[in-house]
Amino acid sequence: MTLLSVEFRPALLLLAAVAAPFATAQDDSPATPEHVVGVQPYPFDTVDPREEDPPPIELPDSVAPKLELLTPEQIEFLSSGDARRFTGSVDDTVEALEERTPEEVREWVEVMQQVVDQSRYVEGRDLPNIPFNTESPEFNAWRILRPRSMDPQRESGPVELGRYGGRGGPPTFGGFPLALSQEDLVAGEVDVAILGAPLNMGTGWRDSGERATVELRLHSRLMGSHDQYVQIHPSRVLNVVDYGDVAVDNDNTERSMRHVREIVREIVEAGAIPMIVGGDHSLEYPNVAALADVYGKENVSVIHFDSHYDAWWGDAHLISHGYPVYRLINEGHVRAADYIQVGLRSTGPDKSGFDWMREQGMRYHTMAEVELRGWDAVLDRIVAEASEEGRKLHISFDIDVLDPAFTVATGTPVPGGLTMRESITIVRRLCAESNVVGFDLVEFHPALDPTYATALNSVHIIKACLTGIAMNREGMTGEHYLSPLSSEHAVDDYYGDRQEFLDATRAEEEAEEEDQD
Amino acid sequence: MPTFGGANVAIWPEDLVAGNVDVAIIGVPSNAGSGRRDSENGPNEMRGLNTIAVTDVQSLVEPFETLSVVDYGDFSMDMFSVHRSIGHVAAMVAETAETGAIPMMVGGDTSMLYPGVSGVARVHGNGSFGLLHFSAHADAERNDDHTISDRQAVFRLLNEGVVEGGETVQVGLRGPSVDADTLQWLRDNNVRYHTMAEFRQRGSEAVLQRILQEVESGPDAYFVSIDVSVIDPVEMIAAGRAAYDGLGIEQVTRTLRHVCAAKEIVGFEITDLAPMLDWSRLSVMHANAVLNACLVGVALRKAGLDPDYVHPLALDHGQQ
Repeated sequence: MTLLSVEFRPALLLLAAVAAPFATAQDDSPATPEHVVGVQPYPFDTVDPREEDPPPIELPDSVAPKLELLTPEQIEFLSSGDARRFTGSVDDTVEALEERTPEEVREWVEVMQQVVDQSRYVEGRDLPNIPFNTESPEFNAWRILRPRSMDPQRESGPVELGRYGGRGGPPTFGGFPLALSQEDLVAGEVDVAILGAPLNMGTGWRDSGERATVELRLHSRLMGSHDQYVQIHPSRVLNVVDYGDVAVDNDNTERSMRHVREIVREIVEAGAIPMIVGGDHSLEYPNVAALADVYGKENVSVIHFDSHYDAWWGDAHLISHGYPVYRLINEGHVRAADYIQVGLRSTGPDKSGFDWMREQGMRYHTMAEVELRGWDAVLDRIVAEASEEGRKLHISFDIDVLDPAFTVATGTPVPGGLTMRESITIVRRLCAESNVVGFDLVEFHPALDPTYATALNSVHIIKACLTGIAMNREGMTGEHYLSPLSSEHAVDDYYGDRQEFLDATRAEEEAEEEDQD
Repeated sequence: MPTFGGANVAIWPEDLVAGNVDVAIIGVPSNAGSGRRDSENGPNEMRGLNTIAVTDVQSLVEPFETLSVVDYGDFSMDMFSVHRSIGHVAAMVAETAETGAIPMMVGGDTSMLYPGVSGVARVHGNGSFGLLHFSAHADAERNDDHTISDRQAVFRLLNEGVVEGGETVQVGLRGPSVDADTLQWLRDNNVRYHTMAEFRQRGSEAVLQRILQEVESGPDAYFVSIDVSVIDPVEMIAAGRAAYDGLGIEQVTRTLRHVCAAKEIVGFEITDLAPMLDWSRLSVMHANAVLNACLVGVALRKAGLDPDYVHPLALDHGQQ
């Protein structure tokens, strides 16, 4: 894929120049850990604008008497950006110094220096890695697939678990048949494989493990059912399967990432669209990385629905449900310019985060934009961006993009979000009008869902995408298609834009009458 | 994917035969009944809360290690007609029992007790096994305007001679459906009934011992039925027909473990769990414990162990 099309704004071309050096690893960089498979050197690139030191503090001469017991190093520290974490502005610093005796100033600076020192990694003092028991004979048991030869003999292909034409079996996603292997996906010519990923390592509330994938299956009866808006029955257009749950290590996100990526890759290689049902939002990383493994790096775009931008970085961990976006960009799977963010409204990012996104060319659509422009305008803009150049699109849908009125059972809810009405529309439109190659829905925490409302709403987000994919396969890819039959009673031309439909249906009716005569 | 106890799935009778299946657990998701509704969701919620296949701490037996157990899916329902559902359920239960597997049914409301027991009887013969029925309710209404419902399940089974009154034991009776007229009819039919009044007057342990003796001296084979209303609402608030002052979960599971080990079990059914009434899911956990207790009993029997077997490590820090 070419790096940037000529239609792009010139500002983005500049960004391409900035991004270019990332593409080659520096020879003198430290050995890249096994789990980092991106093109960027490790440790992660250090020019991230969010990491720039705060400006130093210029201390006025008037406070010199207060500093008389400090060493030159301590005076330098007090003027540095590090000290700003404690002292704030110049005025605050001067005020704090004036309140203290020289002895108290010395003690104050020493304590600040200690905290800064203790916060950092020091070789020999701190563990550089989380140790595993590599002696365990069961080290990889959690993710070992049962050899096919241990299965009873059967023909490859999805298995219907019910006796009554799709009903009556134990609960699968949407009552869809079960597939266990890539051979099943190929033999069944599967269009969409829904994979549970019970990863439960988020912050906030923590119940996105097996309970989440189970509860969503229990309440997913209507996942593939007929859609009234567009008059299409997705489960009759598409071959959809439940691909079971992928194994995760719920004591370690990093270990889980590799296996999830392998299984998602297995689905993509079989020609099916992977739909991953989480689980926490760390999963966006292996899901998209697996797509990049098959379609090539920088060949997949991502639209990230979330109240959080999930591009945090800089603490001791390299992955969590707050970092998948940064990790994907930093390892070169997706260009920042191919990222679209929708629904941001949490406490962050702050100015430096927005500066970073903007300088990287990331498209973002915050709830502030919705407040300013109205949802309809933002909706059209997002769908147009996501559909540019027929780009391959992964949709990562964190249910906390929805207002907590609809999805209270999520790990980190933030008020002021999208409604179900808005979300169904945008997800259906994206899946119909764009070239969707992957989808995930994450951060359902059923312990918080006594009314099952969050489960039901989550299921209907997935249904909206299945509907859209079915529309896409049927060629219904026009802008914001809705059935003319179901979108109004259509016996007159009340809105002034239905005469064509009325004429066509009348002609059909007359033709039928003639046939009967 | 949630199945009962994480069991393997079987779809057809041939699967049960090929797998030498001992126990087929089946959802019977009817949702009628005279109490609170939602028993339709009982089977899936019990599948979802995976607390079957649990090691019994007294015998240290894990039932799935001894028994071949499968999730046999659900039997189909006409959600608007108990009457239309019972024929299909009885036929499917018979087909299941024919393979030699024990059908263990998860309701659904208690109206499905009738096709459960009568389906088993098609294979084993009317009057060939006893019925042990735990419930707050006698389910022996005789003059209703309907011919089948949860309220009449026991009446129909006795009236049609599927089971004999003298070989029917009822445990835990109380609440609005248990009046003098009903008890008189049970007595006239020689039913061994044990009300909560008896439990309180004689002491729970004495009554439970008496029940075990009655079962012991009864037929060789039993169908065991638990309407979850038998359990006190403190431990089972999600009973479709809850009634206060019931048995403890431990009393029920201990008795079940014993009976399912001491007798040949031809069928088992747990009914009337209405999971929507219990957001905490404690009731679902206890319903699974009831099912697990009978599985442990069946496993003890298959392993040739005494019904009240105690593993030496289970008591007194294993030092006695």
